[in-house]
Amino acid sequence: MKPSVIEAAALAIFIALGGAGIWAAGQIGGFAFDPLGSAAVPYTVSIFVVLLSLACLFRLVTGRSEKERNPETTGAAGVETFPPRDLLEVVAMLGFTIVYVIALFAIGLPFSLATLVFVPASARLIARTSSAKGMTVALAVGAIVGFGGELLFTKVFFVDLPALW
Amino acid sequence: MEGLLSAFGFVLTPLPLLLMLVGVSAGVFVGAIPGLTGTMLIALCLPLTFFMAPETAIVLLISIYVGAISGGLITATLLKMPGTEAAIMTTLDGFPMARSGRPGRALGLGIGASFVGGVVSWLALVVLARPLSIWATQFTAFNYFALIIMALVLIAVISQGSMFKGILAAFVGALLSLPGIDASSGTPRLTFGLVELNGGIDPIPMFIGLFAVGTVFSDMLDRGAAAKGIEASRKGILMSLGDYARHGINLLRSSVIGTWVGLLPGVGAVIGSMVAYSVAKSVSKKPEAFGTGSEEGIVASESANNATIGGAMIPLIALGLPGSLNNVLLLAALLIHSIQPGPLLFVNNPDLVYTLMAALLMANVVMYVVMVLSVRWVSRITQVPRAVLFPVILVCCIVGGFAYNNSVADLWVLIGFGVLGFFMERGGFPKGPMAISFILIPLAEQKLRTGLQLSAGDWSPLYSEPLTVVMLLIAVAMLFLPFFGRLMPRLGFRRTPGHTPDPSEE
Repeated sequence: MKPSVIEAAALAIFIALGGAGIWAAGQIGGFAFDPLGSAAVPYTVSIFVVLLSLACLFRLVTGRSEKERNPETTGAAGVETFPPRDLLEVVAMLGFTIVYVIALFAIGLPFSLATLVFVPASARLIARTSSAKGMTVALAVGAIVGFGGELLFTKVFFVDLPALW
Repeated sequence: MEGLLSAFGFVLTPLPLLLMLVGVSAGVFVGAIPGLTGTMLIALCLPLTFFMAPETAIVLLISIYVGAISGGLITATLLKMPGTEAAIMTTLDGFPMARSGRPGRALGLGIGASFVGGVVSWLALVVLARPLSIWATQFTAFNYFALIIMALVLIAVISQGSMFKGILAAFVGALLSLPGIDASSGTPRLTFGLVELNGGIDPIPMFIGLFAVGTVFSDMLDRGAAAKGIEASRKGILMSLGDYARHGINLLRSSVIGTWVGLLPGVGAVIGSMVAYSVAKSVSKKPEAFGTGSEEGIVASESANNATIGGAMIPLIALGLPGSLNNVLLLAALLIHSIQPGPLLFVNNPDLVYTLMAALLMANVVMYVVMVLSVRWVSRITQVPRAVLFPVILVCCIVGGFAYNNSVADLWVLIGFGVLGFFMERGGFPKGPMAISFILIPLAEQKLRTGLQLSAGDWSPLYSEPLTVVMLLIAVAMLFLPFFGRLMPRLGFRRTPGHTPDPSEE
């Protein structure tokens, strides 16, 4: 998969944000004693977001964007492609994170237990292997972060995390 | 002077010293690991600072900042992988020197030069910040507005990658800063009827999502093989007095360059070290040695990149203008405690300013000690498997994002910005202009509004106040300079044939 797909997705998000901004700025009422008004800045900024996103999209379509792609984020070769499977792993990791948050704050699973499951499961996903040694290390780290973190955050910093004890 | 001395008294008490040790060590650790950055760690620590006094919080964050900029040197030298962008130029000479059997010498030069760079820029901070802030108190609201616009344009234009993307990122940051109740009229704007948005988007979950979660997701796609490292050695790790004398001019020159570059908004440590490296090469008696393990190259790069820290602090303290990502996060930490950096900071919170100054110097001292003592361990710790590291970072993000307000809604904001951060990083959009604009645009709008109210709606000061005009013209020039640069050859203004530019100068 080419980075241009990701870039196009980012631009789509920006256009949506800008469009929503233009619509919402139109709903803002006037204010008699303020020469600038509340709507001027949101309007201007939203319009620029949409216009610049369209300009970037044009550059992407015409191939100009590829030439000046940021080497820090894509490697020295300038354009770095990656297999779709890698992207699916990122999506899976995002899913794990969301499930972790739901487990903690909607279901009320204790932080220690949720972390004990989250860390090894995520490590398995990222490492793509399930070697006994790797899983043991991940489980040990999950236990330390889970139980140690629960103690630290709930008893020392008084963070309102669901706790086992 | 008295205030600075009492700040040193505070910084040298057990708790700040302990925080400094923890902060510098953690900073060196993340700075040494390619892919992890000090920005990520500072973002993660922001919620933690909520439980601290502002002075203590600033000690911790400054220490992380100094440690992270310095830590990149280790992997740049031993693995040929700069842990931070700031150490890119160090790789050119550090790795060849380490490979030729002198890893301790390469690291020692880098650590010593980093320390000198930090001290020189600290001196500049102490000398320049107060006069600059006194001068800035005379700024009109329009002057301030123009200054912020100029800084934002500079940051967006010179950020990595395409200028278009930098400017777009800055505008997106501006747009994201606008939801909430308008302080002037009390009108809700861009809230879409959501009560949760009345207070605006909180910078803490936003920054943790953008810089930590987004970076983890993005780094998952980098599946490069681990580099084979050179074993670190302590031999030659301490620079002798003779070394300091021999490299004295280079150290001083590069530190001054780094400080000056750090002063400019958005330019940062990478450009600072590149400029210092290029200047050192151009004035060197042995320019051909650069890139093959030159001591001068390491000294120039490392002193300059550390010097940018103190340089960047000057506009942050004196004008309230964060020039780099790390400075935005420092600014956010101060805002959490309702402290607004700017010209009046010396008047309203002098203790905090002097604590920041004292912490910067002491963090450099602690950095020197930590780096010298821990260099062998750090080079091994960097080989921690990412499969374990990334989930732990995500757990820290979730806890940090929640702890700030004990709010689950913040976690959804955090995850949302994590996704946005991923798209921005992989799509080549710089996140710096977005974060800086997010913080500065509300201030710019407030200044413009104040100016207009004071002038009864008259816009003419924007083109009649000399300082405002100069700053806005600089902003416009910065914006259009790249286009003129491309237009010149087409109009017949070509480079002299046969001139081959030095890649390091570019």
